[in-house]
Amino acid sequence: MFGNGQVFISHAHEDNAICQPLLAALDAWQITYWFDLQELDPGQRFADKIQQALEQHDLLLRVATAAAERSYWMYRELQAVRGLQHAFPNHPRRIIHLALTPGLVFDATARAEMVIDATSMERPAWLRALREALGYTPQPRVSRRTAIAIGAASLVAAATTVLAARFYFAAPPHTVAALKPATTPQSIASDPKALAQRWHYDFNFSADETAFGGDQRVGLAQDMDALYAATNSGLAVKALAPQDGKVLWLFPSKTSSITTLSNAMIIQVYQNVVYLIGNITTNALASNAFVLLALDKTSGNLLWQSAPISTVNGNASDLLIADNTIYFMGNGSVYAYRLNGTARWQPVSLDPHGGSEFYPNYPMPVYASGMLYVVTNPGKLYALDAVTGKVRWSLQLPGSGTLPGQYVIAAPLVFNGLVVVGSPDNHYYAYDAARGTLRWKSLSPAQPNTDFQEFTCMSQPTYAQSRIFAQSGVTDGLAFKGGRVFAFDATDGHLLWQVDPLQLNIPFQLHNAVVVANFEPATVIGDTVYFTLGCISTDGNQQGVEVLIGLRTQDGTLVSYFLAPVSGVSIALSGDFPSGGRPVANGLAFLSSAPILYVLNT
Amino acid sequence: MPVFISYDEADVGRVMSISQLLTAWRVPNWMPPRQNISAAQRAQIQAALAQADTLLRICTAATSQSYWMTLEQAAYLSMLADAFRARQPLARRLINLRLDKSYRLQPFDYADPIIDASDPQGSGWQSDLHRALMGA
Repeated sequence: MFGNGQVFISHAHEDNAICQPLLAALDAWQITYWFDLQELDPGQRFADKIQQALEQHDLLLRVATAAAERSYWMYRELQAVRGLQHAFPNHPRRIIHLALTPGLVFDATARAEMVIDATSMERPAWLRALREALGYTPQPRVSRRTAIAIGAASLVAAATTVLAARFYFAAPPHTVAALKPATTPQSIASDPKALAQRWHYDFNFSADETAFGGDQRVGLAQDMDALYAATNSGLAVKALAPQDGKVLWLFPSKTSSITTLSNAMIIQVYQNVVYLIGNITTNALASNAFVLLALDKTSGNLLWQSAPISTVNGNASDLLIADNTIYFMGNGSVYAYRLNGTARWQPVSLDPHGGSEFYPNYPMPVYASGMLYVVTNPGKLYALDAVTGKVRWSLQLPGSGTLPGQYVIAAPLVFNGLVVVGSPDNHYYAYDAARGTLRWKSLSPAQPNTDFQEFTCMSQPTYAQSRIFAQSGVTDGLAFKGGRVFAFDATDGHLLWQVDPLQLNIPFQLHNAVVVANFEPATVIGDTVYFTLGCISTDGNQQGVEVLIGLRTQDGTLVSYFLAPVSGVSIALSGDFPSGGRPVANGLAFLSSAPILYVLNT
Repeated sequence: MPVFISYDEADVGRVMSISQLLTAWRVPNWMPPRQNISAAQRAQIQAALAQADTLLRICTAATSQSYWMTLEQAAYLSMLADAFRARQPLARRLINLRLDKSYRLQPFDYADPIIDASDPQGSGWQSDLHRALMGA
């Protein structure tokens, strides 16, 4: 293979479908490639990871079509690689133009690079020509598709290098009423806006789980190849095929030196490795300890485990993987580990109290341009140098305090030099990422929390298309105030639209329902923003549903939805929330708090 | 041929010198305000960007985390894209003027001219900048 053996595929978004034979061929040849599934706006074009992808891939494969001729962004990608060729003549880069529509004219520069005209030959012939141009020789490794998905954690990742979304339930476990495996209610089966279920996996009823009494809490990561679920029972980690839910592997295996793994709900997938934090017991070690683990994502085999992390007691944040480092929060400190499991720097203690009785878990750190942004409670926002862990600046978020309703529970969003975070005083605040100076604040449309004895939910915001999407509400076990989902302008924070989910034409079939807001970030895919939230009846009948709603980013019009029945008690009292709307192969994943994992067709 | 100078407020002193240099060359240019920006000033910045046929990015150590520079670059690229689709690719251009070696050039920077003024002893960048602005 040429250079570093990786291919950056430059293509027009509207050519996604006609690129499929090309992607299938690259998969078959076990060639790693970068293929951007989403149409990005100008701000997202400069996300660190896209720039890195262009820089790190030695071969630009330009899918030349009529649409490509009109694409300015493809033009810039081509010009950028040509500029890199000129600036770094000792670092060879190649450009291949693959013509997939007839009648295109290539200039002398393009012809000198390489043109493969797929329109003048049969598919086997042009694939053979491409294979030879790539210098393909079979390698004994599994192919990997690096596809970016802009949305939710991955939209946060438009300004970071988080490569896979994860779902995590943050509240302490409570007994959840046993549910039968979910079905789609008959009344909505014919609704064209109702998303169809491809398969579901019930963590309480699956055969794998019953020997351990079922799972009640699940963390989930996903990429285009599989969904990776980490649970709090004995059979802790499993990989599921997105096509049919088939279990691909389980960890710990019968031959593993680790005999039990529990409380492993912090999971992330990055490149070919699944990373997680869990409490292990080994054959050699009778006692148990929290460690960071790395598993081969295709086999589930253990690659390494870190030394025990003595100060983390299970209340760790989600894992952020950026700049070849694993970052997380735990016990009031920020941790940084290299991708081989060794500590990059000593934990930096930011919260001497080590968490709170009201909200022991920390929001995950967020990375952008060499900086980490973290929130601790009560309500402090920190910016740290990601290389050294040194604090660059910090500030107290307005409205935060020591009452339960004054805690900040969601991670910030970083984009375009701004840090945006929801504060319990019902505002989202945008600060200059470099200096921490206030740029704007945006009022949430949800009813404000006036006594701060209740649980204030201001979700992690999501950025796309020059807008910020979020949801908020006040969600205590006994007193609910209506949750709202909304969009505001990313440049000055003014409200663009807001939606009361109960006013949408969705058959919730609940009497006297109220909306339970969720702190999970929304996901944007194309022109649709997906939110997950709960609705419960206030009639005391323990009825509830969790819902995935897809709204048009432009105006909040309902595009699609999916309903998952759950016990209203579980939403109200356990504090568990649904999660998802995250892209998997040709579909969306949605995890209810039952917990049941649904994969939906889109 | 108005030139919109996109810079971070940390570099205002150095950027004023560059603005004076452009003025001496009789190149119309404008430095947008950077502090306490009102709604009217925000509108003024947007109008100036729309009128500019050149965006001169002052690339320094502060650039990668500069809120306004990121916004201005994204907005200007949208206009470059419009010009490209209208088959007028030369109607607008973007020029990167690198003042600090600590500014790490990004891959997309190489799609546009890069003028390296990071050598305190060097003066050749001035003629390079003049040439780039004059379209030579």
